[in-house]
Amino acid sequence: MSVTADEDDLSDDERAGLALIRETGGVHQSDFWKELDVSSRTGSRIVESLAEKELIQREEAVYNGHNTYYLTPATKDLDFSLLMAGDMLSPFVADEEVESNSDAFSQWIMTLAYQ
Amino acid sequence: MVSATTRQVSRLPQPCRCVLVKSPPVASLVSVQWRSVRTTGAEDLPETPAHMQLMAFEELLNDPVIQKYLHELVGPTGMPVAAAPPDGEVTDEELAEELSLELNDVRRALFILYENDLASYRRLRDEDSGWLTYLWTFHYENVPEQLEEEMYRLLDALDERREYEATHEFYLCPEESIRFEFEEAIEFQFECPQCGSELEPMNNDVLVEAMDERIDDLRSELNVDA
Repeated sequence: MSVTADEDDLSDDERAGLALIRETGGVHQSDFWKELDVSSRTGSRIVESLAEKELIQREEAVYNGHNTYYLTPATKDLDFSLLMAGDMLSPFVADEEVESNSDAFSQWIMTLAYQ
Repeated sequence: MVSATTRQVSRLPQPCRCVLVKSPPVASLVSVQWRSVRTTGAEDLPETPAHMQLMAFEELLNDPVIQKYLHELVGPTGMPVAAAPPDGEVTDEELAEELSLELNDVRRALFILYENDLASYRRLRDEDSGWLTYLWTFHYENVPEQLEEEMYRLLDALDERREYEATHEFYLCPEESIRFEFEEAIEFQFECPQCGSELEPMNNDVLVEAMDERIDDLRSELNVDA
């Protein structure tokens, strides 16, 4: 995902918070502010702002007996065409093994380089 | 390819149900013995879903990469099933009739989608006969997640292959277009074991550059640090 205008406007705390949520893939709000080393009130303000900008999603959750939110990165609108080389889809799709020296992958790379 | 947006799905005259003669323990669904009959007594089954006329997930299905992805999973015979997901539950019988396909092809496609988290089913038992009906739901909302995972796998493979390409020297047989690692070329005394032509040093800079570019693009798209 490219950096949106919204992301450019983030404060340092918000940026760190967003990075934490993306790195963990998901974190409870009660852990979030501790991890960021900010007060719970600041943590909640950061979450509020990130959610408003639609950079993260909040879901109500019970964690260690407390009501809190579970925070996850917003669903990304990814450019799936990066899986393509010319007309070829990544050869690892629908394959259990990722074999980086396979003939199919050589073919894919050749197409990528000379398409 | 069947266009997902223009396909007309007509209403079925009467729902068909696919059922099991007996209901054996379903360890492997694929090996289940199927038999088809029209149900008469299963009143708790929903009527022919009118929403079958609606095409769900239209936007996703317009993406050529997603079309390619589905085609890769289910193959050409399963593609009509994968390209026309009804909104709501549907039986394999209904799909087969709707799409004029062999029932086995429909089932095969559905199970592949199931294995890839793109479809689920629930079973209904007819209390009189003990027969089971499988009602399928498509879960194409999971497609983006699956493709994101594929992007990570591709990135890993590119990293690994780039390392290999950058740390090895290669020789090429100009006649057969076969590539040899330096060590192999020495072993063959720089002669192609197939045709005897002299092997020539091969420059793979173009490959490495192309891989570097795609690695950068994938990293920035996935927010992965180098």
